[in-house]
Amino acid sequence: MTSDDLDRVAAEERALARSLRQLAEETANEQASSHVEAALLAAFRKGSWSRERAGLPTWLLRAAALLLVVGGGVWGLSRMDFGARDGSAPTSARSIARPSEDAIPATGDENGDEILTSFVPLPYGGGTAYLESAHVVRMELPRSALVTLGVAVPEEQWTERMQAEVLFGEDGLARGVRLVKRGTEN
Amino acid sequence: MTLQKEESDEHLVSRLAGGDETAFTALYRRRQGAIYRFALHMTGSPALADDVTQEVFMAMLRQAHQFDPSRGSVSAYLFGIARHQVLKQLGLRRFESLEIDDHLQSGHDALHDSADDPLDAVARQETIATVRQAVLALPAHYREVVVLCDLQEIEYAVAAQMLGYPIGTVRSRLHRGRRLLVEKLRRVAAPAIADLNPARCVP
Repeated sequence: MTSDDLDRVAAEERALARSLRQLAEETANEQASSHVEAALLAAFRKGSWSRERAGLPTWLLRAAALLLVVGGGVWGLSRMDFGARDGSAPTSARSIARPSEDAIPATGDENGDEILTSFVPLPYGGGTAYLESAHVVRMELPRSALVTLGVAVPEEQWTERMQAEVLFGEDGLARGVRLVKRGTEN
Repeated sequence: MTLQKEESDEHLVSRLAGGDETAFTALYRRRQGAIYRFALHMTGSPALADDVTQEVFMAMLRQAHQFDPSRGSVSAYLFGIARHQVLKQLGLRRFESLEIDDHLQSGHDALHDSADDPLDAVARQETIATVRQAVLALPAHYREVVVLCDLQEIEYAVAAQMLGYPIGTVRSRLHRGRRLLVEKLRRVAAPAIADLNPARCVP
């Protein structure tokens, strides 16, 4: 390559750099349309970003992943008759059209040293109403899993373990979740 | 919660992961422009660039609690998602090139530019349009380094982090991409030079 060739190449590259700079300046103020921000905020407020996964609910995916890792983190499979925890005689599941607050105590029922919250319906779960029968699975999960339900959890608590019971309908879909708290916990 | 001035991206991500809308809005407004421009230069389409931008921040919402600042900056994280979304939107695999979107092709009226000499403004707009088309015509793996390093003035090391390959690869692809642009622009300029041959004057 001669010196003239080198000069030519250098000149071309300088011209290119100048042109690219002009293009960059021309587009320096380009921004996304306002509807993008509006759509994102709408999704944020609905919490629908947590529902974006296709297929199984996020909660169920996390629970399944933890089961594989922890192994013995699942225990105490029981059939749930609504209303049984209040000490009354078990009623037929079919006769209960809706697991109301009367059937599942809202503030939790004391079972030994445990306190249970009421079931929180899961996204996609179709709620806990009109379940003819259900299964409850007790699991141990990280607190970060609550974030997927839209619950604000301080980051320093994400790795802490908690116990929860997941309500599965007879179709196998997770319908609700409630937290298990030891009587001595805050 | 009031937003502190100059709050770091990492802190905003931590807050938005806990459901803080103010933090999400602040992060979006701070970073959306760069993401949008990257997508715009890569696709040539404002509509696709909007879609990519939206998908990037939706992904951030979903994955905010998984973000690990020790693995890289928030900006690099967002650009990594944007790159994936661009390729997904376009269905690109490797060596496809693009045509400029009509919306960008038409541009705005060059005579209303601030240049003192309208001819300079026209020349500038023509240059910009030509370079924009040439960039879009580059194969994707050259285009992305040219867009990041030359158009968005991102440092090579940061670009390497965003793209997920060594800094040496960034340098070599940038060099090759620039050479391809020079050759393309030379071919564009050549017919124009030929057109300058004067016609015979007719008395």
